[in-house]
This record gives sequence, structure tokens and C-alpha cells, in this order.
Amino acid sequence: MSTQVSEITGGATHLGGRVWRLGGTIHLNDQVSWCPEGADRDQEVSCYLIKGPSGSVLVDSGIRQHEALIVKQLGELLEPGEPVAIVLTRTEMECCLNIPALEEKFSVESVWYTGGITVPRARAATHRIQVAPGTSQIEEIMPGIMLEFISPLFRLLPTFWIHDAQSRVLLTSDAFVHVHEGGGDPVEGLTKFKWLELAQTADIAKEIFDTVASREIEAIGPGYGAPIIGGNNCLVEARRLSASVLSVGIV
Amino acid sequence: MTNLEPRMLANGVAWLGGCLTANAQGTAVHYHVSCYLVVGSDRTLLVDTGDPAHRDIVMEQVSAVLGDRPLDYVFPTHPEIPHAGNLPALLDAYPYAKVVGDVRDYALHYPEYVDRLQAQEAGSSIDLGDRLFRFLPAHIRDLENTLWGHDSGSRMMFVSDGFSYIHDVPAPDGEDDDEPVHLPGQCLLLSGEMPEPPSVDQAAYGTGRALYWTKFVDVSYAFSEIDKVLDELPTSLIGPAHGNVIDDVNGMLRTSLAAHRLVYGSK
Repeated sequence: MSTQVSEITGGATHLGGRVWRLGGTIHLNDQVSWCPEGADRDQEVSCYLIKGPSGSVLVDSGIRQHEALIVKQLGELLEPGEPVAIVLTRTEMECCLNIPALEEKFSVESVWYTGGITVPRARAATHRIQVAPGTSQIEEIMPGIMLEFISPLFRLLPTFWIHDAQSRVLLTSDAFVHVHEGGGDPVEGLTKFKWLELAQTADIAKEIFDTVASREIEAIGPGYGAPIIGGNNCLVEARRLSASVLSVGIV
Repeated sequence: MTNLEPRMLANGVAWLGGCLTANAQGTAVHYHVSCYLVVGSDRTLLVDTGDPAHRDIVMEQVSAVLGDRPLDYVFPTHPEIPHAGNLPALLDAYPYAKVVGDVRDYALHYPEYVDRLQAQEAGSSIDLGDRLFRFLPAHIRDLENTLWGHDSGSRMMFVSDGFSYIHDVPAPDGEDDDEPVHLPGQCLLLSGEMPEPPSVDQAAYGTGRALYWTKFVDVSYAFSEIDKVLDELPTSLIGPAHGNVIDDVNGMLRTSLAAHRLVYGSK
């Protein structure tokens, strides 16, 4: 497989355009619920910063195990007092538990999310966005940062994929999580989605590929697993993931 | 928030937590975020932690029920905010309490408490003294690392996101909500104490939104498995996290299965 894997260091890494990857690695083993059977390796767990002209958008807040690292990385990328909006791709714990710590350190003005009951935050305003599965909606989250909120059919809980057209980056939450330095079988990224094995998945599989193919995507940033860099690689991985989703479903 | 006082449900089980409020076409409606405290003769166990929005309430309720006794176990049915979000407060207040259940991922979320995690698998149990608390497979769930539970002393089954339903109210205005709702004043009623038993449409409303995948999957197989569990474990009450406690177990099983079939057929 030719897909590139971004270098992981202690600092943020540039994903493309105005988008930066933040976070670190975890040890992926049987103590992690999304671990494929038998896996025993390190895995990137990420959130992403989209830098705007007068404020930035943080997509997810990272896992709490990486709280100090993410605070450090954000401190290096944000100007003092720079307004920040947080967009949650899901309201699961790996996406939102660092919000209170980030509120303490940075000027977090708002939290945007879908589904779920509450999100942990102290002061930031909340905005709930409703997008029907299989459709998308464009919102200006910060001046100069227009983001497309894609509500994928391929999901467990209410989920957004975030598309920054200016950067040609697609942030895919708990999808496209299979790539790692040693390769990556897309079926390994379906551990969380066991329900697919009991469902007719043709429409879901088609939508995965179409979502990438119908947009100019140069990088895919998943919530965990290595980012996918390069337009052709994104298409290749979209096709592979789509095929895997189709293969595990019932006819 | 409405229900500030715990309701003692049965022998040694208290219904805790509270409701969050939404607006439905000018009318306030509620949705439950419940947790349940099981008080055995030797040990105590809390099923789910309640939502952080109710942290102070839950802490007071737990303390009121326990009195001078310690909390020995916290069993978050799965690692989502409404089910596990109060873990830090509980573990700080009860320094000898262990987190039990499928504890995968908690080290990522709460690394400072990693030495207090005690894994339990479906089929295992904890002896609370005069009762046995069993960990069960979660036959209706969202996250894979979800477990249900059963307390022999009260004959109560704890089903997390399963068996949720709305009651007699419309969806909150302008929102495609994903939690079951009810009217103020109905927060601590058993399903049999409500003005009407839950209908198939009401159960389907919550099911279709909270458990998206059930639109694609015929869950009849899961209800067969639930039937087997109920055959083995006498059950008088079912405690969902997001709905009134169910006292008509057989009736709700039929309603819930019909609701799932409605949701599956509607995609």
C-alpha cells in the first residue's frame, strides 16, 4: 500500500492548507474498544485545528490522556487571546472531555455539536446542529472559516465529517481509522461498527466513496489512525473502505 | 431538573439522577438521565453515574441513600457522558470505590483512575451480600463496550440505552431530538403509573433516534436473546437510563420489539 503516513512528533503536524493535526499516540491493544482483534501497536489519536484570519476552529478536543500535550500544541499555534470555536464530530468522550481544560487556557467562545445530551463545558456558548444522515450543511463557524458539516450514513452515534473546502481537507471522526505505518486493512476500522454485519450496506458503502470522490480532497484526518495525505491516496482509501463496508454487510 | 429525591423502587434499589429539560412547542418536556443505586447487605453498587449536569444532585442522592456506608462499586454501562461523566466526582468522594464493567477506554478518558478499574465480562457477577449483581450482554446498545446488569435482590434489570420511550409529548420544537421525553410530574413514575402505557409509536420515536443503526438491522434476534435472559433471571423491573422505570416487563418487551420493527421498516 502506498498511502503516506504523517510523521508523529510531540508538536502539531501540518495536515494541509490551514489545518493542523494535534494529539499524540496511544497503545492500541485489547484495552481499547475500537482495537481490531489481535492488534498490538501504537496508534495516533487526533484532533485538528483550522486556522482562520481572526480565530480558529478546533475539531474535537482530543483524549484526556493527551490533555497536556494538546494544551501545549494549541499554545504554540494560537495567538494570545485568539478566539476559538470547538466543533465536535461526536459527543463521545474521546472528542469532548478536554473542553473544560481548554476553556481554562484559551478563549473558547463556542462549542458546536450534534446529538447527545450535554457536552462538558463551563462557559462557552453551545450550538446544536441538526443535519439529516446522508446530507450536509455549510456553516460559518468563525469569520473566514466556512465548514461543511457532513452527516454520514456510516456512523454509530450522531456524527459529522467536517470538510474544509479551502484546505481540501476532510476530517472523518471515527471513519478512515485503519491506516497505520505498517499498512492498514479497512476492515480493521469497522470494529466499532459491528452492526454493519447485520445490515444491507450497499447505500452506506456507496456514500463513503461518493463523499470523497465528489469533493476535491487532498487529505483525510481521522479521529484515530494515521492521516491520509494526497488526493489519489484519499480516493484509494475511500474505495477500499467502501468495498470493506459492502463486503461485511448482508445481501 | 425535577426529581431531587431518590425513589426507592424495590428491595435495596434506589432510582437516582434527574431529568434535563427541553422545549416542545411551548411546553417544557423532560428526558431522563437516570442511575440506580443497589444496596446489598455487604457491598453497594451504582449503575451509571448520571449526567455531569446533575453531578451535585447525584452526589447528594448517593450520600442520602448510603448514609454512613461507602460506595464500593461504580458500574458505568458504557463510556458516554450521561453514563460515566460523573466518575471523577464519585471516585474522589468514595476513595475505595472500584469502577466495574467493560472498562476498556477508561484509561484514555480518566488516566488518573487507572488503578481503580476492575474489568467484568458478561456472565460474571459481584456478590453484594444478600444479593448477586450479574453483568449481562447488552443486546440493544450503541457502543460495543456496553454491558447490562441484573440485581437478584430486587429482580431488576438495568438496560442502559435499551427500552427507551417517549410519553405523550411531541418532539421538542425545532429539534430532531434523540432522547425520549415525558411531561413534568412524570419523572419518577413507573411505566404502569403513567396515564397511558407506552405505545409502539412512542417507543419507536426514541428508538429510531437514539439507536440509529436499528434502522438498518432487524433486531428480532436480540429480543430472542433478551427472552432467554428473562427466562433465566426473574425480572420484575427494567431500569433504562433514558426512560421511566418499567414495571410491565412483558408488555414493554412486546411494545419495544414492535417499535424496533417499525423503525427498521421505515428507513
